[in-house]
Amino acid sequence: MLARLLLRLVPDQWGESIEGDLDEARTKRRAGGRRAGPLWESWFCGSIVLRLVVEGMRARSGVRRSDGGRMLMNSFFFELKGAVRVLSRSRSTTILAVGVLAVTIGFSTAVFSVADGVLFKPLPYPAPDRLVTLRFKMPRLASGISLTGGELESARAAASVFEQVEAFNISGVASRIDGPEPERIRSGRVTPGFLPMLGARIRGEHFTHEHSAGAGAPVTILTHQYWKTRMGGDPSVIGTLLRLDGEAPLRIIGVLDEHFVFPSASRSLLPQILRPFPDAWLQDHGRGADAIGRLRPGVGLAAVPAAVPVDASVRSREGLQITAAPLHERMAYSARRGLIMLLAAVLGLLLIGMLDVAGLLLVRATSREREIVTRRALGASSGRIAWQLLLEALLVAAAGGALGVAAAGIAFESLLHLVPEQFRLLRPTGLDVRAMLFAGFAVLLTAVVFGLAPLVHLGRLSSASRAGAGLTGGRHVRRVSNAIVTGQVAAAVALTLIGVLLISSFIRVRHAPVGFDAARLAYISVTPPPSMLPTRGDFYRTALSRLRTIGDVQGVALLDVPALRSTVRGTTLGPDGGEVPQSSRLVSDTQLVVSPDYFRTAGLHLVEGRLFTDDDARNASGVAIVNETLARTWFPGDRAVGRRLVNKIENRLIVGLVEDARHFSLKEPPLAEIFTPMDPARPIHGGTFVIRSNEPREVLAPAVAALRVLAPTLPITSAETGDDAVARAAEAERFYATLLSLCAVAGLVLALVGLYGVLSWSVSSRRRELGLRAALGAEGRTLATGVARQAVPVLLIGGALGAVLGWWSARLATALLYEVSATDPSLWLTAVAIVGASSAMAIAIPARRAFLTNPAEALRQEG
Amino acid sequence: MLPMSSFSPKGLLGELEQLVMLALLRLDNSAHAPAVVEEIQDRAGLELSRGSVYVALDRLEAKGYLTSRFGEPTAERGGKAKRLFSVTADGQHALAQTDRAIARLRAKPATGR
Repeated sequence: MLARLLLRLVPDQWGESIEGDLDEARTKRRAGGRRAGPLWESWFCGSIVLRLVVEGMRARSGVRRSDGGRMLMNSFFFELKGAVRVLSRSRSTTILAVGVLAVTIGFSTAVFSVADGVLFKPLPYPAPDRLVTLRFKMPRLASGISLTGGELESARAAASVFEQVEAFNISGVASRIDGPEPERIRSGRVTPGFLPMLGARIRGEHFTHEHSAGAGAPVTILTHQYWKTRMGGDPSVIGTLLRLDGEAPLRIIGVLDEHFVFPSASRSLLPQILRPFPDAWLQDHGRGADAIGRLRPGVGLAAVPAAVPVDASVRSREGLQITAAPLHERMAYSARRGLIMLLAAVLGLLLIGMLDVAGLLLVRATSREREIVTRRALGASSGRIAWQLLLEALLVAAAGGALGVAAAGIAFESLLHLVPEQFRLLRPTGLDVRAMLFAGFAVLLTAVVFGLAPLVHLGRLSSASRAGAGLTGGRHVRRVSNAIVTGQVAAAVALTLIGVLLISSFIRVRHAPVGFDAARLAYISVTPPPSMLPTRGDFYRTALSRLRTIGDVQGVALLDVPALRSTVRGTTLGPDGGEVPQSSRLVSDTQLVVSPDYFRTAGLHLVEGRLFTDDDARNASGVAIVNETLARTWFPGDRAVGRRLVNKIENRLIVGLVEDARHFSLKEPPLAEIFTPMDPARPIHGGTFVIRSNEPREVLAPAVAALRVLAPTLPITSAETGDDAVARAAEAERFYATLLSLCAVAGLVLALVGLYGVLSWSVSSRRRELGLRAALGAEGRTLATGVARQAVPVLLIGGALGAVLGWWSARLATALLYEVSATDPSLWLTAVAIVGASSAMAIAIPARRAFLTNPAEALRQEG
Repeated sequence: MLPMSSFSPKGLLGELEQLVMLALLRLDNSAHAPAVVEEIQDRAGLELSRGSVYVALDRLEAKGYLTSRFGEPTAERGGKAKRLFSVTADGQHALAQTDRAIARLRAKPATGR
């Protein structure tokens, strides 16, 4: 509370007595039946403490007040109160100015803090700019994959390039059976030096080389989040055992510090517990080591491929190498452009807000020119007047700033909820102080510059004889005001345009054709624990038939990847007759294992050939179905059905061609997909049940229950409808669209406030003229259109400037737009229509006032 | 609202200071700030700003015209002590001096001047 804050400022000699005086006064008031709420308390404390503080400052600086005997008050506190009085006389302008400042500072600080938290914060590791990820790059896979144990060792051996190289792997799962329900835990593997390299603090012990070598019982380190949520944050669990299904129990040797951030680009698959990489695995040739290294100072990324050779078994193939990329980029790579866009929008908003304040102060200043000139004539010095104007401007800035900070806090909390899962890594921890200071400084500057604007005109005026007539300053001010509003309109138009583009993009993504009937599907993903592995084939078979019996279910199938989630797995199959054509190397390919009726269940249509039958399941390695993209890229100009797909051990006949579908990502074009039927001899490990029904949401709970009855120890990874999955996949677009449209709306409102302010002032200041014209017979309509006409050049020029600005920024945003052209005329028209309609409202009110000018009244007022 | 008079380094008291010291003397020469505010309001009918009274008390103490001590905490003050002020001998002297100076200026000049 404010009172409490103020009480902390009390000089020492008073001790607690002032607080006691407050309590005493409060008691007395309440006894007298009057209210003594926080407002009164703040006033009580403020009136005492502020005086004491000011006197203290005065005494320390040895300022002596000289009383020149002038009429004007010369005590700082009284000057302050005078400024408040002046401001409250033009209450609406003041409130408007304070409100504008609050919105501007609040909103821009909040958005900046969110964006900065994700984009600019250095990684929370020691020497973060030298940290890189090492990836094995193949020509057909855009993002590279993990290393083998041998390659990891080579990297470690390249001591001239790397200071340290460690590895992790987060794709492990374990099934915990301690708790009330069987629980699937995501388990990550790390080399012993991994956590220390990233500066992680552990409560307990780190992993050692003995642990990797397998000496002693298996151990684990818990992540802070898992420890807090599943173990109640109880420190005594360190040293106890974590029991797993089908594996030896793990001894908990430590808990990760709360602030440790796992360096993985994938935010939804973060590990919950960590275990050491077993040395045995690293000696194997399999890939699975996500390597992170710290370069030696001065070594560049280009030195890596030469220093780290690829595994001997693949050395013969062309174009393979190990490359390094900065860790920061990998962790936030998809976020960068969007966030830069957001920051630009925030700056635009700040600009509009500043211009608004400038305009408001300017307008107010002209209406006080008379008073100022009079005071000048009475002998007040320019310095005194300047000081007073400054004080008023500072008060407005302070009030707006304080409100803005409060608003920023609230806005920040709400915006955080919008941050999609994938960005939650570099989680913004709080309001960015720099942003606040920057915004605060910007508005302060504006307030000061424009608060003092009237003085510019004082210089031009001659003596008091001019005080009565209309001041020439008026026309000049009008020009400046118009310029200000033009700038605002331009910025608002640009913001609105980007907002419209992003919203349109979001809608497109949200409704991207996924190929399968998402609206009728429900997905349940499971991962059988080790104890179930021998019987998983039977489990899947039984589960499929059990799920089919649930009411309203039209079909059930099985798929070996979760919907719209996982990173793409490559395939070892290739077309018969040689290599994949060069042109298709940019298209990722993947292989999905499906139950025979998957296509019917999911609603994927057959284009040519036939779908799988139950017979195919028995001869599972002999057939395959491909999608249109694969047919187009691997067999250009030829029929795919009838061709064969081969690898070292398989030879499959393509029996069918289905339409494209988006199994992995909404935004990427469909991959080249190969579907192979499930082999009863080699059932899939983890799978996703695909359930078709008219009301997928209704069948989710019964389906999950049925699975639990069938396999009580089976952890269920996720259960969502197709619509949920699609919404989740469009999160990033929704984030940008929402934030940017908020900026745009705020910007538009602020710009229109500016427009309204200028027009309104124009009507007020020309009341006499309008009254005269009305008295001389001008119709209300003419007066109104005259006012409206004033707005036309502002809107036209501002609109044109805004269009140019918008076009330029839209080009920058193209990377964010999904199937939306930055120059789409219908979207531009929409933006123009929005701005036009809102401007019409802003113009209408002053125009109406002009329309209703009552000549007698207007002439009676002083012009 | 009475504006605060400037302090003269020579020790002559301004109006606010006089009011404050006189109020203190009326209150048995031992009172805390709110009591002084109330006394001035009741007896002189002047509503002073709280802040100016507090500041005046501080300054007068700094000049040695008042002394302060902490009194007993009471329940209605949430257990916090009062800061009680009393006029010192120096203070009484200054008060008397100011009185005399004003009285002399006020006295009618001798006739014939």
